[in-house]
Amino acid sequence: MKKVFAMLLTLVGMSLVAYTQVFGQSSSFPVSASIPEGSYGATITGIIYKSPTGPDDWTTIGKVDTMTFGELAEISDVNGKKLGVFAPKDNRYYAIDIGISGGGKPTSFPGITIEWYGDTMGLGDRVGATYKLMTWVSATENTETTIGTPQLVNLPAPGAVNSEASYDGHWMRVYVGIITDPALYGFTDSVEAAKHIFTYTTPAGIYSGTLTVRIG
Amino acid sequence: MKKYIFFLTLVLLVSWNHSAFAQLALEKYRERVDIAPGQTVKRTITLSNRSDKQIFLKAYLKDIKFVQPFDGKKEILPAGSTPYSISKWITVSPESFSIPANSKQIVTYTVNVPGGVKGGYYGTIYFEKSAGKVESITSVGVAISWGYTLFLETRDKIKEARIDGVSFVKDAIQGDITNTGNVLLVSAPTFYVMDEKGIVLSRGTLQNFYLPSGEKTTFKAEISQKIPQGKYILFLSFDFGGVAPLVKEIYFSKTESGAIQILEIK
Repeated sequence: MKKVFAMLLTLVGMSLVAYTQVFGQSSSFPVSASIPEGSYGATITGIIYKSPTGPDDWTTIGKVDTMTFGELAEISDVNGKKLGVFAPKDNRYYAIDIGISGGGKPTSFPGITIEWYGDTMGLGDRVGATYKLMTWVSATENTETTIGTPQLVNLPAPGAVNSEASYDGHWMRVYVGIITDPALYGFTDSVEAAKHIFTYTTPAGIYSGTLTVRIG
Repeated sequence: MKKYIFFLTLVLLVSWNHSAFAQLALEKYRERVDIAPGQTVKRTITLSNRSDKQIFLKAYLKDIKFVQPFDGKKEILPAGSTPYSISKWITVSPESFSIPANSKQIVTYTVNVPGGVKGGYYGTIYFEKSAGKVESITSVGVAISWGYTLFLETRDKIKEARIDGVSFVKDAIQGDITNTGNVLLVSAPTFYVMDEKGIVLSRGTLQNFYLPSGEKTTFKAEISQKIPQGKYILFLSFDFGGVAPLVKEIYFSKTESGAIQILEIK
C-alpha cells in the first residue's frame, strides 16, 4: 500500500512540475498603440436660424469660404411691426470652428487669435462675434461655454485663446453675424448704437471685410 | 426685437464631423534656434496639406509680444515693430506657393544674424490661406493663417530669474518670479512637497508662463489639504531649457488647525 501511495505521490508531484514548466511560467506581452500628431485647422459653416419655432430650429448652409450675408432686409417684431433695422433676409449667421484633426493633441498649443481687417464702409462696426469653447459630450454632441461676451470683431483679438490650459479638451467656436441689437455689445446710447446697425440712415452700398483666424 | 437678438437665445448643436478641421499641418508651431552674431542659419519647415483640395498659401512675417498674464497670451504686431524683431533678418522661400491635395511642401527660411546682437529675438512666420472671394454683396471673407514662431537666442544669452514675495495664501504658497535675463523665459514649472523623512506627499504643476525680459508674474502652488500637521519642504522647479533649472526650497510647517507658516526659503 505504501508503494502504491508513494507512486501516486510521485506521479502527482511530477505532474505538478510538468504543469508549472508548461503553463506556470510568467510571460510578458508588450502592448502598444500610437496616435499620430494632429494639426489645428478652421472651418466655416453657414447657419440659418428659424427663430419663430424656437432657438433650436435651424438649418446649416454647409461649409463655406466666405460669409455671405446677401442683400439685407428690414426686420420685424413678432407682431409684424417693422423695426427699421436691416439684417440678412434668411436670419443667417456663421460659425467658425477651430480645433484639432488628423490625430492627437500636438505637443505644443499654438494659440488662436481672430482679427478683422480690410473693412469697407464700416462693415466691421456692424459685425458681431460670440466666442465659445466647445466640449465633446459624445461623438456627435457637444456643449458650449461662452468665453467672451459678444464683441465687435474689429477690436484686437476679442476672445482670443492663447492659454493652453483654458483650451485643453475643447475646440473653439466663433459665431459671426450682422448685429441687430447694439445693446448686446454695450452700445446703449442711441446715437452710438445706430452706428453699429444697418438702418435707413446707413449709406447704401456694398459692405465687405476680411476676418483672419490665426493659429499660432 | 428679442426674436432677432443676435445669438442671445441660441444654444445650438451644429452637426459635426471630426475631419472638418483638416487642412494644413505644420510639423510644429515653434522652434528655438541658437544663433551667433554674424551667423547665417538656414532651416526648413514642412507643411502638409491634409485636405482633398489644393491650398494656395502666402508666407509673411509678424512680430509677437507676450503680454500679461504671461500664460501664452500674445499680441501679433506688424513686422519690425518691436525692438527684438527678427523680421529684418529673415527671408522665406518660396513666399507664395500651392500645395496639391494630400501633399507636402518644404519651405526654407534663412536668418542672417547681424553682428553685435545679444539675447533673445522673436517673430512668427505665417502661412496664410487667403480669404475666399468676397462677393459683390454684404460679405466677409475668412483667411486662415498658421504661424511658425521662432525664438532666436544668442549663445551668450543670460537666462535667469529671481523669485521673491513668497507667502502663504489660502491652501497655496505663492510668489513672484521676475525675468532678470535677456531672453524670453518659457517654463512649465513643477513642485512637490516632502516631509522630514523624505517622503513625497504631494506634487503638481504650476501655470505655464511666457515671461519676457524684465517682466514679473505670480506663481501659485496648491498645497494638498490632506497633508497632516508637521514640517515640510516645498520644492519648486522652473525649467527654462538649456540651463540648470531654477529650484527654490520653501520650508514650512502645518499646525493642527491647518495653518501654514513659512519657516525658511532657500
